Amino acid sequence: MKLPLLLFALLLGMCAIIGIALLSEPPDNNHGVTHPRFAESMLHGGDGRQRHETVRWLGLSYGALQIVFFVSCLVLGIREPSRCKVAFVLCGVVYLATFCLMVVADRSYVVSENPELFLGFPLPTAMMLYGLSGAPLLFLLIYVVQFDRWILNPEELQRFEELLREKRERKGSGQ
Amino acid sequence: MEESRNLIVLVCVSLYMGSCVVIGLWAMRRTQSASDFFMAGRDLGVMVTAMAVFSSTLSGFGFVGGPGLVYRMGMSSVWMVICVSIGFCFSFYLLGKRLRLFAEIRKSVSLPDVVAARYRSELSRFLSSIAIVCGVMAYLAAQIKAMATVLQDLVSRNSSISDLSLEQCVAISCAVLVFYCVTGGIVASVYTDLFQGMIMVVAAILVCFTAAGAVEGGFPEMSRTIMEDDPEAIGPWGTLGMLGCLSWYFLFVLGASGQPHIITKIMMNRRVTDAKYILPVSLLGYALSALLWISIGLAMRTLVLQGRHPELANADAAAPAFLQSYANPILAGVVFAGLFAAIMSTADGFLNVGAAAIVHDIPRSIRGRPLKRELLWARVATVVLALAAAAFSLSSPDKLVALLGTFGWGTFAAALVPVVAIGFNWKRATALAANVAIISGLTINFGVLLLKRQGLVLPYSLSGESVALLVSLTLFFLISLLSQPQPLDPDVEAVMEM
Repeated sequence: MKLPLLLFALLLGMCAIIGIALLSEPPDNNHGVTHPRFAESMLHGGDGRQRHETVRWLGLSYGALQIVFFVSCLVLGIREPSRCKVAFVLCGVVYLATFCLMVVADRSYVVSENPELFLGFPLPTAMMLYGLSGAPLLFLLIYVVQFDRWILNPEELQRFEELLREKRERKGSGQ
Repeated sequence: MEESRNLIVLVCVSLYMGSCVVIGLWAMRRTQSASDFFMAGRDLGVMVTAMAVFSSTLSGFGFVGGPGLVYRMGMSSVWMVICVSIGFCFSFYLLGKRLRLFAEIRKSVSLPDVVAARYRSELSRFLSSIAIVCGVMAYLAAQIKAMATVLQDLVSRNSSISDLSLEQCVAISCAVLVFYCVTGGIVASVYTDLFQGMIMVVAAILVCFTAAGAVEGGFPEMSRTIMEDDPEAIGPWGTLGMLGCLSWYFLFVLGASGQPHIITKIMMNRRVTDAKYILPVSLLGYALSALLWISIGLAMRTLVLQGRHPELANADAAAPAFLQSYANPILAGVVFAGLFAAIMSTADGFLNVGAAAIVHDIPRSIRGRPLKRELLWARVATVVLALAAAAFSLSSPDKLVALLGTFGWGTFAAALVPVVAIGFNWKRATALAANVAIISGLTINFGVLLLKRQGLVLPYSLSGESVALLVSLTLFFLISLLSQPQPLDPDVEAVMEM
């Protein structure tokens, strides 16, 4: 499948999910309620199990489609996508797996009586803070290390400079 | 020292503002043409560009609105922070090379210049300029409101000048901002960004330690206190819920590549290969500065829940209240300077891209040529834009700085991400698709804003701006796939094949 078609299909998938969410009947506290003690300035999440149980699969699909979309878009900026497919698929799988594990951990968290902390936060929150923000650093590493091969190689840069020189000469000769 | 706290803070902020004025005067000598005013002569080094990119990204929206959102909603708004690693990668993979090459080959001085060259369409130039002006108004208003809110809070604690109104605070903060933007254009903007970025990083690191110290037991104790009160608030979705957070994630990851004040900085670096160094430096700067966003918000929510601090009158007061009550006076002074730095570094970028749209792009798209004496008119447009945004900020009914900021971010994202980030990397994308994407992005965004004012809340707190972005992206692909591909100019085609 060509990359733009894949991106379009992913967008259609996300549109379908948002459509279902907009048309469904949301639970009462679907976006938080006023805090019982600090009503002026704070919101309260209420019962996490109740408000997320019916939409967890929607959220999981929405997040997963987003991640596949982001990673596929990165490939648009690559010179020869076929040469770096494996690296992007592997990094994408790590990123996607981190998200899915976070959702699974959150499912356990909302029913847990006494959740343990990991690096200062509940486990799913820690996975969000450290894992979900950390996983894309793999793509940063690829960008920095492989810039001269996969993004813009020296031959292309030379070709660009020739293009610039030709333009300047044409302009100089009044063409 | 404690009794002189207000004086120390005001001195720090005054010193900072004075430094901005000095940089503006210095930059004026380097600004000889419209190209210098808008593009800094495309001669910026790695460090200056990187700091300009990150400090423009983290604005008053992040430094004032961000802690307020964490205080109000728990972890929900942290999705706007954690998205930055993939968001910056997205911007640099898709635009780091392409935008810089387009700008050089076409001698472009603005984003709509590049859009017009890519799509061979003056209508695309016009529509993208209109989108920029609309987004600038909303976002600049958020910055000005943030500045005025902080300044008013500062001076209200000083007995001799406690009667300054919000309008007067808007006037003072705008005066400094406009001065250095008018005199030095983008040169002043990026060099103040460098200075401002350094202040932001130092301030954020120090604040993070202070926040950890303000609550006995540090971050684990904050987590426990918040969890006892409301496990959802400290869970990954906060009080907003799963779908709402993911809609923000979508908006903020993709949105960065549609923010003209950020991506035009990528057009100004000296060498295209510098992009590989600019990306990690700007990401590191952002990540360190964002510590302030999370730490103040969590600390203030904890302190209020523990009864050690009275409930805040509104969520935006979280950062100023924390600094005034818990930070060492000198640190508070540095951080307040950092707050102003965050706000002004973004606002100056807006003034620059907005002025370029008004004096360079809109006239070119209508008359086919730019204005005469473009540099002079750019300076006039900067003043007019600042005044208009100040008026808008004072009249806006939106109470939270962050929400006004989200709307501005969303306007740029929905209108420009498909056209710029996707269209510059996909030869089949057409001008018709670009124009429809801009119009649909703007229309849906404004429509949702109007409906919000009528009291509409989307189910699951889905962000209206993210829905607008999703629709504009889908339409962009659909129309491009259905319409006939257009021939490109040979130089544009050559760049797109690189």
